[in-house]
Amino acid sequence: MRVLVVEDDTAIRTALVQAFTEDGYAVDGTGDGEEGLWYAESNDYDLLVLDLNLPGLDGLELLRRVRDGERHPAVLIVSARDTVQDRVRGLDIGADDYLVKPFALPELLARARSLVRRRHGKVKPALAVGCLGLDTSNRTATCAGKTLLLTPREYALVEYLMHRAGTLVSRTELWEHVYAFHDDANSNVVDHFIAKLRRKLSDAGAPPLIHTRRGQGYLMAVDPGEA
Amino acid sequence: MTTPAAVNPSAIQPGGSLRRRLAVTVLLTTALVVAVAGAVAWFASAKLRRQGAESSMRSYAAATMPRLLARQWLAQRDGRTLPELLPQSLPNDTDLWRALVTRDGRVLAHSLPQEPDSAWVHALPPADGKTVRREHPTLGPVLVLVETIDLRPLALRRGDVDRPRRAEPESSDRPAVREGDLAGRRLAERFAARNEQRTEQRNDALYTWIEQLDPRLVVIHPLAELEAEARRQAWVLIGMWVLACTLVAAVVLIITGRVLAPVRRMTDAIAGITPGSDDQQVAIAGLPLELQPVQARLNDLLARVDAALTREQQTTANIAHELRTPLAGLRVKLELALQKERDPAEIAALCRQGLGTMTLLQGLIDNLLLLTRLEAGQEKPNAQAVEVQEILASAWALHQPAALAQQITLERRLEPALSLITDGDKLRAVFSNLLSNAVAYATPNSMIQVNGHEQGDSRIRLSFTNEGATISHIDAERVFEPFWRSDYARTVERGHCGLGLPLVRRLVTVLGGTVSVSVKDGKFTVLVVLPPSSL
Repeated sequence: MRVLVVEDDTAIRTALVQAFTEDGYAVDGTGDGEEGLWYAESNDYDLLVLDLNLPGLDGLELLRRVRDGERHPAVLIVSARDTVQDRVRGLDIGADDYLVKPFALPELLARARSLVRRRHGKVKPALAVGCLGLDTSNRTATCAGKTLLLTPREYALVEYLMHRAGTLVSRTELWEHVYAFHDDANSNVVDHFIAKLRRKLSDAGAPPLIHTRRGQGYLMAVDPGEA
Repeated sequence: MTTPAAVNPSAIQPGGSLRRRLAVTVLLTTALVVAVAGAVAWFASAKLRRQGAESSMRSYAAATMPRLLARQWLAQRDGRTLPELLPQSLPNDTDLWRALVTRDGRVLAHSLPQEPDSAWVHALPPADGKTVRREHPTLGPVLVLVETIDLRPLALRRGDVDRPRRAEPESSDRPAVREGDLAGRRLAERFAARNEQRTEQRNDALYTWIEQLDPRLVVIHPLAELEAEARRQAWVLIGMWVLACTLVAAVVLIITGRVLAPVRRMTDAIAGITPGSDDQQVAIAGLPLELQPVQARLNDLLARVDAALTREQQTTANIAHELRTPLAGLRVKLELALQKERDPAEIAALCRQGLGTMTLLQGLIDNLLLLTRLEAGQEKPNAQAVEVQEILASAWALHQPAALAQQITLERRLEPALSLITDGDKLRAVFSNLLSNAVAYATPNSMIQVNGHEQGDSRIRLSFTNEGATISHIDAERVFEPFWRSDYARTVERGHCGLGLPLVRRLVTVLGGTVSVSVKDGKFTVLVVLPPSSL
């Protein structure tokens, strides 16, 4: 999952970037409104964490422009402005959630998970494709009742594929949602991780769930014939 | 942030009801005017009535006296009983009573319902032709006129001007020739013609008789009827007065009610305005011209209050925002540190970052507290003789490391031995804030200029100039608003929260000076003018 943190207070921004990174998200962070808009328009983020008092471009204006644009990330406003009018205005402009500073970090991360889940049309925190189960609340993967040991990057790949289960996911899309802007990685590293994942799944005794469509991308499904 | 002295509403004496005041004023005026007019009318009518009575009495006296006298004399001469005087009726059915009385108080004849007693006769007023009000035992209040006998009509008939006449003072207020004279003369002529052969002798005898007796004619006009009429009129007038007052009171109440209706509408409109309501202005349709200025002034006041309230809310929101942001930073760092097992080095890094945020927060709270104290007037200057050079040097020492990192230098152009009597600590705080701002905003590798000299009026003029002004001249005044920042991110990094210049302005005000800013050619200048002594 890819997250953009637009927050001008350095202390909060670095802490959020670190917290999201440790939770397996691919995170970009910036303290400037204009720069934030550029990031949001040029990448397909799952979540945008947005402060309102921003230099360069006001947070609400940034949100309005993002909502007018092509991309549709879930937006979580994190602001010290706490009046009802502020919250109503933020949500009415197109934010999905509003959190007042100072906030509890676990709450912010839980809200982030919930927003990502809903962005992909899922209601339950537990995802399942065939015998492969994924609990996003505690970030564990199980295969036929056995816990799978995954690296954060592998987990991120599985999570994205499972959110998009049944649909074709291009390698670029997968790469965009798993790697941050400053991660120095080529999209072919995705192939490497897919290969490792397949091995771990077959070791656990699962039937092939990740299917390759040559020249198009990957598909996660029990029966690949449908797509 | 300042609390204006509250006005205790109960301390203001209420002015009473405008409506009641108006009603009472109009009512009293009407009552007084109507009463005076009524009294004047009543007295005038009473006077007219009395004058009517007097004139009928006088004309009667003049007309009947010679005939009466002749009849009396003839009766006496012939040894007959004196005839009764018959009551004389006036046109208004009032009986005019008469009596013929000698000088010594003997009643020769009378038409009174009973013989007048001697006491009453002796108490008769002098024969001066004036009417006098008296009490009569049976007739009640009466008007009495006593007339002496006028001999002139008889004397004229005889043509004998040499005959001795009764001395008679000519009263000035009595007409010389009266209406009755003509009738008297005619009677005397007829009398003379009938007794032609005995005229000389008879006239002589009449004169002698008259001179002996000196009779007076007493005319009595009863007043009971007239006074009853006057009383009736008085009651009618009083009744009209009460009616007029009642009518006026009712009309005044109705009219004042209508006149004051817009005031009530205005009161209702004002009552509808609360701090939260959407409409913060009074707008009443069809308001009278006189109340329109009141509405306009009220709206001015409401606009000012609204602006002040908005400012207050903005300041509170700003303070909340400014405090929450570092607090959020601190919290998120601590939570991150505790979220999972970490290396001691990692925890130390997070703690260091948290401490930095903490320091920022502390500085913010200190400044906020100082600003609040200054605004509340709790900080008094502690004056002493200070050297500007010395204070500037100690303030610069705090900011020199930050300035060096950006290769910013300080150029001091101070008049030698520039000193003043002021609060050294506050002046240092002013310099420190100004230098801190200058360092934060100056372009790297530039020079901050501080000029200081004594003005003609012996005030000290200090200017702080740095290059790299990012604000326009229009925005220059906004730098004194708390939490206003031209470049948020850049200044927050350096611990600037938008309180520096507001603090400077408050401090300088406490020291009795003024501070202003200007932007020119990309240079930002703060000008501080201080009095030579802030004592």
